[in-house]
Amino acid sequence: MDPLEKRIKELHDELQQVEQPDRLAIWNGIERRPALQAQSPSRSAWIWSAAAAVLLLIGAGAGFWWSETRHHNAEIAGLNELPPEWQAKVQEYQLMVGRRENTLRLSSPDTFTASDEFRELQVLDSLQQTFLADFEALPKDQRTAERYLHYYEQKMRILELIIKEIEIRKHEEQKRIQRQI
Amino acid sequence: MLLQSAPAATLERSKQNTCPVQATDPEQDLLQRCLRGESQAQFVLYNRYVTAMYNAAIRLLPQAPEAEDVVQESFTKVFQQLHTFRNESTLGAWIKRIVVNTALNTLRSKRKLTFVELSNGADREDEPAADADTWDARMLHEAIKKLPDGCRIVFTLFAIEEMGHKAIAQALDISESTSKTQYMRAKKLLKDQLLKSASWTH
Repeated sequence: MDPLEKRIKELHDELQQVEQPDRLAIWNGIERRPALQAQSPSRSAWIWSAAAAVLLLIGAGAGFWWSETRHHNAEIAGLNELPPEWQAKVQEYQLMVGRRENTLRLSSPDTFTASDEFRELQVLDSLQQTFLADFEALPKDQRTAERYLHYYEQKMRILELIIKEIEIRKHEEQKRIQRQI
Repeated sequence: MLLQSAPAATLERSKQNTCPVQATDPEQDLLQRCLRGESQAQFVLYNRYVTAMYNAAIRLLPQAPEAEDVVQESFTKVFQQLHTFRNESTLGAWIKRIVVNTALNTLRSKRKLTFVELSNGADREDEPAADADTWDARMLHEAIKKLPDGCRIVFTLFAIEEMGHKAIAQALDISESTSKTQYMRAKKLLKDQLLKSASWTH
């Protein structure tokens, strides 16, 4: 086996995850396909059970946002050490992430509505904290900058999924109220 | 929104335990819920596998919109045909096969694949010894996406999707020897590209 084949075998699992798709856009596309059927009662039941737990978990959501703010300061410190062209990219991503976070704050987030996504976000943030802790020792090159950017790409993807989940719930709630009227 | 995955008769069979899907472990439970057409379960299954499937698709079709279309079409088929899944492979491998077949159908329908032959001696393994350990997954992935259509597809199917040359030849309607030479060509082009990018980085 030559070095290229060997390396591909070693990286086989990583190669399955290297590029992040726009999950939400693809899922929306699946839902729009002709095979689409009417909603079943089971989905409504799922949405209802989720909605019932919303108020109980707002506190946990608040804790999460506090933790987010704390992490943000550490990120800015690391940013200044990247090459200027990458700093601009990171700042651009930070703005985009910030906009999504604002949208989410206005939507009164809770950690139950999209519990899997919130968990993923927390894992991602914890990984970023580890990365930032090691940041000083890392070369300030393209690869490090790409790792930095990858965090924001992932974060945007997860935030978009959460926003979408919240929109679905709100839409369902409106429909339910209209039916009651 | 729901994708109806199985006809009533199939669900009945599954209730009678003729379907190998057992509701014991979490994945089988998820499958049962998908078979009943539960949207949340379909989303969970989709979320679990979409990244791997997208990465497979985009190496075969490097334009993101085409790869996204393939993934959409594939998951639609997955939900419609889930009742035919018989646990003969893992669920991931079964979904991957659908993605690869869908991508190959798209390739065949949208463009004529060309397989540029190697120039004489180009298949010799005479490249400089490469420090392959410095190549990370991102570098390899991007380099593969830049390969010409024919050899990129053969390389992806053989080296990453672990198909044999015989199966590749049948899928692409080419000879086995063409599949092998395309694989050699892809390896050579990839190594050239990776060596260049490594020297650029350093």
